[in-house]
Amino acid sequence: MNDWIDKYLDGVMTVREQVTFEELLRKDTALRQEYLLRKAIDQAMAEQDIMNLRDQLNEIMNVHSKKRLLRPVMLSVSAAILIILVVIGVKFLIP
Amino acid sequence: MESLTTEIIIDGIRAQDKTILKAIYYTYFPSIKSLIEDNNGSEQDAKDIFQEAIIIIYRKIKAGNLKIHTLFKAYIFAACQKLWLKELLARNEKMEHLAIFTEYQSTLEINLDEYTKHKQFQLYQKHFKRLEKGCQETLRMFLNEMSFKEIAKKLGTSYDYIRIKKTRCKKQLIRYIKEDPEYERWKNIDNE
Repeated sequence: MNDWIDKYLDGVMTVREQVTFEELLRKDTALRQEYLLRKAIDQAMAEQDIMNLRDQLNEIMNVHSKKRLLRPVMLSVSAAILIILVVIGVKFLIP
Repeated sequence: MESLTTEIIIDGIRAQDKTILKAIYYTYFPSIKSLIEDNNGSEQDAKDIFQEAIIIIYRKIKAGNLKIHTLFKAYIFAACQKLWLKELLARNEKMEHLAIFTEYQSTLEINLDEYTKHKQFQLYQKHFKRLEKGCQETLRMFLNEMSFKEIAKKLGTSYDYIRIKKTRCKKQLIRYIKEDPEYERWKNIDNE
């Protein structure tokens, strides 16, 4: 049945097939449900602009949080180096 | 940086101008982040809600029915509030600890049908993006009103091959969608 839906959506049915299919759509709730889903998916796939916008926003937002994440990491790295230097200094300077 | 007027913002969103989008994010996100975090949400929730707000605004700009009577700052804040409320209701969160929602009147007009459709499309598009590039390309070509024969010719393959490929790709996409727990959540209820 799903192949029928796709055939209908792709517009490759004969007129007679179309009439039969539309009749079925009216009667069969499950079929109609599936038809509406597949139709909506087609519409969603056509929204290339929305997908682009989402990609752009994701990129902007992730760059932003990476930058913010970097700072604490660098701080702790510098703190660790400082501690090591102090420890070495203490060891060598005070025999 | 020149100041962000509502006009610049709307034009920027319409054109998907990266510089403007970035400016919008840096200018308005901090207040949205506090809003969400003060009301049972995480930073990731805040990002999701902010993104949804921008996309809904974009949809409205495209449809020619965006009406902003306040400053953009107030508009997007109210929009995010409204979207976060919808999200919390959908998650069945207890609302008693929320301070925000009674104080402000939202100016974003978005009805339930519109919102449901928006969430459904978001889900479909998310899974469409998971498909391999070849599948995405094939499925997209069918949407451009090209016939099977034209597509086969363009890709340099046979009519049968392209039909089988298209069916396979569509099947996979639908499987991805139906396996997603979000699918049941936003499923249409057939009232006809």
